[in-house]
Amino acid sequence: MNRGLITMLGESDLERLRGATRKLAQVRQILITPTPEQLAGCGPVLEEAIEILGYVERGQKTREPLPILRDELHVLRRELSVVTALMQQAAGYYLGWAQMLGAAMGGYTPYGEAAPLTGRSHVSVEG
Amino acid sequence: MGNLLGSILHGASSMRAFEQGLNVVQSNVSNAQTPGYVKQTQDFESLSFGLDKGLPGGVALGPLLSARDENAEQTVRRQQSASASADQRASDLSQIEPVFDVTEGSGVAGALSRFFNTFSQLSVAPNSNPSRQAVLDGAKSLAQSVNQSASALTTASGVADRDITNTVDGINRVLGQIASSNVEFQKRFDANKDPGLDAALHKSLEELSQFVDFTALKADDGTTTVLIGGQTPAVIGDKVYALSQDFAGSQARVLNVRGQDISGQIGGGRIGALLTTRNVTIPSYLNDLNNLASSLADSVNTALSGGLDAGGNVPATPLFTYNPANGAAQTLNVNALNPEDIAAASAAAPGGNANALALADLGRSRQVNGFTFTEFYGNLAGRVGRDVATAQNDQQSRGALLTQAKSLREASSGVSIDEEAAKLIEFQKSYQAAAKMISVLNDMLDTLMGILK
Repeated sequence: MNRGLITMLGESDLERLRGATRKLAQVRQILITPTPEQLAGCGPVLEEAIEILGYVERGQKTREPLPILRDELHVLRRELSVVTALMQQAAGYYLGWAQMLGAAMGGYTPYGEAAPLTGRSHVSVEG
Repeated sequence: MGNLLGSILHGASSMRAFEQGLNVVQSNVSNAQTPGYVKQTQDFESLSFGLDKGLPGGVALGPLLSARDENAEQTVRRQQSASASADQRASDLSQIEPVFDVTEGSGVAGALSRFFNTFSQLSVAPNSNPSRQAVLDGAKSLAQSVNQSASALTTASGVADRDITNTVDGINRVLGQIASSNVEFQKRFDANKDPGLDAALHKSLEELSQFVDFTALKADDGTTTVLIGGQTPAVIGDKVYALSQDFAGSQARVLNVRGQDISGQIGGGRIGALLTTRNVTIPSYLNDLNNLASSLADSVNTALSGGLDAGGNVPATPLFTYNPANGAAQTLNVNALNPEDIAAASAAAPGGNANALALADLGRSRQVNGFTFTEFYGNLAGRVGRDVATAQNDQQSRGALLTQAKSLREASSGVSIDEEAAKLIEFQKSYQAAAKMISVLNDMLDTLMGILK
């Protein structure tokens, strides 16, 4: 593979990584005061970042590694770990609430777990 | 007439209820920034209404509801403990990092390089006294650098001891505050309804979580039991089971009230990080430094003892000396030799430079765990640098998690000034309406009294 192509691919990967890191940084800010709706919205960004990370890392195994790319991979991995931890904590918090509400409303299952929290469903037919 | 008087009385009771509602709003607003305080809500209950049965209806005071979210409190305390631990670790390691300076020409790395260079220079002029003196000076400079690094680590260990003592004092002080709150809960039957006491207790628990990880259990009488590391009782009711510290052995230890070592139960808070730095990290760095010092001294002494000095004799005194019992790095020293005592020549060629060349090569050969002296020291410095970077990353991550935990708690339990302002207007209007009703009823009563006269 010629040097020019390596550089071109490297730069493209670099942009991908930087883009994913930027998005994750925004998500991190949102996750400081998350609502359940925001939590759900953060999932796709996280998935995309993981995909990009995997794609670039697989590429690194076959191509000549660029130091700047390695640094950017490190930054993205670090950002991912922080965002994942924030999502886990927020999800755990809301899950705890859901369990308390579930137990308060529906008691406990025969297995000793809080009853699942179920929302009322409505079917509306218009004609 | 009876009904009219009853209506006035029940109007007054409504006014009292709304006044209490206003007091709660005022307390919420005043304490919006008070650490540990959570939003209080005054509940109201409607009174039975039925004119035919003489029930006037109206409103009565219900219970005062606290928005305390123990789920959120526990999350905050857990993150507070982890964040304080990460802060302490980053701070400790940042103090140690400069000891392992690898800047060109400085510290142990620079001294190592200069020392082995003196043998290269000696090989060029093996009978030159200034070149021999340079070897002695280089050895002294290297020994001093190693001594300084070891001393700096020992000092860091002493600083950790002092910080452990201060932290244990802090833990005992906060345990005392929690026990004092417990006394109030035991003494006062209405203490459970006191938001001020509740705020003071939770402020103390949050402060404690900075020092150490613990489990807090609420008893039926409202008191809080504190178990350090989830196991060691530290507060039960009004009793404090104070912790202490012990530095008598090689390891720093935290002891329970019976003098038993509970260091293994502590994993978080400032004390957890301090114990790790003091008992694991610093000894590990010091061990590597001792390994380097003893390997260096032994290798150089062995090489010199195989050569001949300026007089053609096997050197009687080794160049380096150290005491392994007190730490090779701390005690590495250079014996009082004369320049002529340096064995630059090999036994096979007296007056030559073969041994000086062999010693210069020693600096490039793998003598410590498969590494050269410089590589080994570089690896140690690299390990310290990685530890610092990991600690700083952890500090950032934990900081973000703590901020999130606090904002989740704030959202569920914090005082919202906007919400309180809306309640204030609502209660004020209700209060005014009740007052107006009393005024109208009073006028009617006056009129009735006038008719009856």
